Amino acid sequence: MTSSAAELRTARWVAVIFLLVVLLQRFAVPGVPNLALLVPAIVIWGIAALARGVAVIDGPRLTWWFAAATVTSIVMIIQDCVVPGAEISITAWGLVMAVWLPFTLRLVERSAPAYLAMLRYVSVIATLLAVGTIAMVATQVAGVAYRDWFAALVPETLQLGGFVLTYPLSFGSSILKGTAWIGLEPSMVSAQLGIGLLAALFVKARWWVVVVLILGLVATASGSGIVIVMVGIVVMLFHRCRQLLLRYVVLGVITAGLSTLTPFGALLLDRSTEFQSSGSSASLRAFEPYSVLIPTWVEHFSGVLFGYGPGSSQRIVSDTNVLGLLVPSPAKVFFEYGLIAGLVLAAFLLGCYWGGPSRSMGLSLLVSLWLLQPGVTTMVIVAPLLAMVTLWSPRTGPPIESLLPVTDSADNGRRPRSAPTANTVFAS
Amino acid sequence: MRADTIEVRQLPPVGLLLARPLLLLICAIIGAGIGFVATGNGGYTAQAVLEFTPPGTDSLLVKQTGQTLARNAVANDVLQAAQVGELGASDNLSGRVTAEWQTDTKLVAVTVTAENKDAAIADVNAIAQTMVQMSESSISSRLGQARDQSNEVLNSEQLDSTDAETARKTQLGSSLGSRQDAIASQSGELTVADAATEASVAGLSKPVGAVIGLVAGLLLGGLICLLLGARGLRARSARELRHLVPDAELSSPAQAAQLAGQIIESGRNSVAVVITKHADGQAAALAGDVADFLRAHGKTVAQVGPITKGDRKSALSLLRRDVRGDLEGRVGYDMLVAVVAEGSEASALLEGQSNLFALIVLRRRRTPISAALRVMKSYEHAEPVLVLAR
Repeated sequence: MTSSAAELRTARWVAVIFLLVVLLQRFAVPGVPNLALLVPAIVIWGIAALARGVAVIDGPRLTWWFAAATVTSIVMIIQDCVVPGAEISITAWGLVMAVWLPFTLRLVERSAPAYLAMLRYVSVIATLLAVGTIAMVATQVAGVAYRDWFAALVPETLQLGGFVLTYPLSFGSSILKGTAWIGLEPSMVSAQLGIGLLAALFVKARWWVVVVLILGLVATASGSGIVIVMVGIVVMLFHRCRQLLLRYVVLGVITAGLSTLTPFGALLLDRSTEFQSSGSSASLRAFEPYSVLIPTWVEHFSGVLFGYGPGSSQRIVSDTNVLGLLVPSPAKVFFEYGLIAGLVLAAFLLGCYWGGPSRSMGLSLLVSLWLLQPGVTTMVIVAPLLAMVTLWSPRTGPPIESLLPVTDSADNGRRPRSAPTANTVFAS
Repeated sequence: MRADTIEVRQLPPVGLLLARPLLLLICAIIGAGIGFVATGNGGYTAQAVLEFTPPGTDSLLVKQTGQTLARNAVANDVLQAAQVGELGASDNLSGRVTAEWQTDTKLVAVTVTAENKDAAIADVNAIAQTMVQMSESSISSRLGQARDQSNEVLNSEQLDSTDAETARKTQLGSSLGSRQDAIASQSGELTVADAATEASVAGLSKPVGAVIGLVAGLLLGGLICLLLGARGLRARSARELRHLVPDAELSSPAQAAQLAGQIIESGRNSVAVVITKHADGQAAALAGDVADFLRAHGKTVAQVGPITKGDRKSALSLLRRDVRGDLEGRVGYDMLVAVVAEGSEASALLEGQSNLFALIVLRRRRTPISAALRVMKSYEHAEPVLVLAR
């Protein structure tokens, strides 16, 4: 399965999104410390892609975006009239709409070779991020004290606020979880590495790339990326592309097994059952936000129907002063906009996960962004969905899980001389 | 989004959004009006800030103290005390008061909503003062209670030895002092850090409501444009057509000479001037102009039509492919310019062919875009030119 010049061009364009996510995640818009630079950067990317003919506006998604924007804006006026205690932040609403505006685009060239070429770029970028993550942890283990080089080098007005940049490995530990110095939080770096690892599996990356990515994931000591990889692998097992996993089984098991002997791996192993523990990271992401928000949500029937205003869920969660407590996507959508507008908004958001070339990517990002991450307004979390799924939707043929490994028919009738490798698959 | 009504092609979303400016304007104005009328009616809100001294430095203790104070501020006994006291709070405070501990501070913000500014300010200041008074009286009461208990112990017995009795009294006095000191320090001080002096509109103000309504109206208008597609849309201007059919070649009757040049350059000897709805006269006039210019280039031109629906004989005799293939031999002309009506047998005979030059004539503000697109689709192999006529 070779890639044409147009396919490679598209792949490079989309890979730029992932590169921007990795490089700009800690940057803020100058003078606006709570607004990620990624938001205007991705919007500008979209305008450029439209201008250069790489992408076009997708009619159905634009209509859904308009529907969501219309009902959520109308509901703000209703909230002001009928919902007691509604707190309406117009900027919070504007941010949601701005973040999801680029999702109304679709690529002109959406073939499987273009997608696979893009995955290869993503795996390379993620590998470099993993190297940085491992280096950050290795230097600390070697006795070099952690220093936030990003904060030291980048002017304060350009640094994004409101995030806990890194955590100690355990209480009292002097070693911090890996973020490659440029990562916004260990969980976000972990998610990016998880996407990279999944991409590497699809493009049959070299064995050491997979090992580096696994070690990078372990160095973050965060489960976000592991969830993405696990869900992705489960989906792959139900398709013929499970053959791709065979070459990595032994390697993966050995690397993961050896990792558990390190404090980072041991911590991840301990955390595998933390869903049941109150106050654990997983619980604070997946369960406890609901126990905080639901009592307030059901207090007034009008609030259930129309919501308590854009930004209100974040204020309530912040007021609890519980470190690590997040607002997952469903909670935000329905608490802030109510059942009626929330359903329309949720339909648009969920539609953005549908129809991409890779079912593994789509489902793993759905699980991650809807259950474990604040996946509505945080561009660093949302942008990978744009790059990996939405821009490529609707796909032009079968999902890559059914196409891979490459066969004669999928290769335009050309019989490969040997099993395709990462290099031969993407030779242009 | 389902296919457009004509089921021929999906129109560009941006073109559809720009095609109905009047609808967008009306929706925006109505939205702004509704937003202005519906918002800003929630009365006024005023806020006072209380500052407390936490009984320790532990952050959890600060949080607990702040949250307890916030809960107490909306408690019934506090509201009752504020209402019956001399501080000027109005009745029925319940449901109009909220209090919130400001995260990572020693401050609690109390907010009251009322129908007018003065009432909101008076109510919130009354509640804040009541909180302070209740805190002070609570400390005073506990200090008095400690003193009374100490006095009771002091007076309950007397030792025989004068020295022992003196020592007992000294010890009790010292113990009371320590206890009162502990009560004072543990209770902490509560003060009004920032009394309310002004009130603001509760919820959205009218200008903000109008802006939200305007945006909502624009979005609703845009949504309607997208959902309607080409329904009822008519060709109004070349600019609009360029937005709606960006890949189509556009022209006008004034460019008949240029069109004639293009026809000669194309090497095709048949020209179909297709009449769309309400463009009969314009099509005939264009055909005449084009034919004249072709003649000016030295060609002999047979101009036929308009051939309307039902005129099967003319269609078959003149527009058959074999006739058009040998015009000079069959009819003695170099070229043929046929004016055919959309939907006629003559048009059907020519559709789908590439050996002719198609000019699709639209009448400004009269011809539906959907009709034009349908004809364009029929003549797509002839690389049709859309001619927008007045």
